[in-house]
Amino acid sequence: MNMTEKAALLLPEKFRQALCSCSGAPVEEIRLRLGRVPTVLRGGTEEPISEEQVRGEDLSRLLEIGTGASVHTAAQALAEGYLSYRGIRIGICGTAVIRDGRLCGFRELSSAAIRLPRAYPGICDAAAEEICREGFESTLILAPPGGGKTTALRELIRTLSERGARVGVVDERNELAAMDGSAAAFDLGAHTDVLTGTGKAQGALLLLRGMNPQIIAMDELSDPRDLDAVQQICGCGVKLLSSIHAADSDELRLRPDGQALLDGRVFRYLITIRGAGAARRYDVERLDA
Amino acid sequence: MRFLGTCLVVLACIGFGLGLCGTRLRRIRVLRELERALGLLAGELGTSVRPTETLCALLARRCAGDVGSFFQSVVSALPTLAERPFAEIWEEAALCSLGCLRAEEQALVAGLGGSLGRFELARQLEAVELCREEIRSALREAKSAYPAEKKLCLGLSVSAAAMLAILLL
Repeated sequence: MNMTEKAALLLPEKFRQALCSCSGAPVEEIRLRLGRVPTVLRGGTEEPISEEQVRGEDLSRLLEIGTGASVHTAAQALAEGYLSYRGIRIGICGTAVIRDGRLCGFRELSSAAIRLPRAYPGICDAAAEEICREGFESTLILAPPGGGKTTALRELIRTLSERGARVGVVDERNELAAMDGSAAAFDLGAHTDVLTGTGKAQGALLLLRGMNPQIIAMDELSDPRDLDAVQQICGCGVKLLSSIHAADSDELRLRPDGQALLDGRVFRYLITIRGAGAARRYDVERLDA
Repeated sequence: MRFLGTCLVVLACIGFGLGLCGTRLRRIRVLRELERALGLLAGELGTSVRPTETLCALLARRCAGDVGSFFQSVVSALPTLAERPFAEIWEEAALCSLGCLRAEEQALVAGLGGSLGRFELARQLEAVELCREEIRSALREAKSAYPAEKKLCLGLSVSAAAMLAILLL
């Protein structure tokens, strides 16, 4: 079963057929917005797949199917605004429920974005050559949301692992390996250990203590705690491979912690992803301390 | 020949009476097991926050008779979750497996599927506890009514048997 077929299982019957009959460029995302027609994102543009509007019960069903009728088990992820279903990340929006000052879930859902991960073997080969020229050095991948960070990171992990490096992956949202039961939907290489379902800070320390990794990889540094974990790990004799939301290094510098990531002490290389679809470029820049 | 026929009629009457008693006893057993299962469900849900499928599989193993079959039916039907809502799967299993319960008790259990696995944990636990309380009260009532019902069923069947025996002999 491919990712589109898996994602189709999350949709009501009326939209399922429409999705499966989509031809042409591969679907990157499925968007369901309350009171609007469902759309798919491909090649950077959204196209409707049905004339029927999305109803509240369609979104509730999505949540029910996505959690296997166990919404309570996904409470932590839901509080972060997403859900992981067999390697597919479902972003959700709605009326937030705040308890003790923190978001603990959603009362009514208003939209959902189902992101379909795909593997593009070989897309980062040139960048991988460059960052490994003198032995792998810690690398940070930059791209805006939907810019291909996760795909690039997955490719680099596989390449490094195939070259013999022991890579420990903290796959918080189950997007990198896309574990479905005990099987991974994506090959991350023969020397890769994947830790799923834990936060990056906690997971990285756990891998460091237990799995003797040479490289620790994690997707999307966003929380200040993730950045703290990065600072802690960088002095422990392991290299880091990670990604962050930013269009380029100038944009990253505008963030409060951005400068610390660019001063060359934590990361030695930056890979900036530019362009979309087939025209994506992977620009490598060396940072010097 | 007449004597043999009379004996058969008497036995049939008494058998009918015993059957009625058995049905009531079975309802009590199912209510007792259901009350225990709902207690386990609330406990497991509250402490281990297990997914609904794991919970139902666990309860199918740990509960006896009709209640075990009920949870097993839910587990067996869960792979069809993409085709129909969980509440429907649960309701169908309740109506099929808990046929010895009264209609209102069946409806009570069937309605629980609308809350399970859909809302936050506290609300699910509340719904389970509410259902358990209702089942407990039905069990109390069934247990207290059983001796009288047993007497009535057996008394009527023995009386009917005696009357028919007199008539036939």
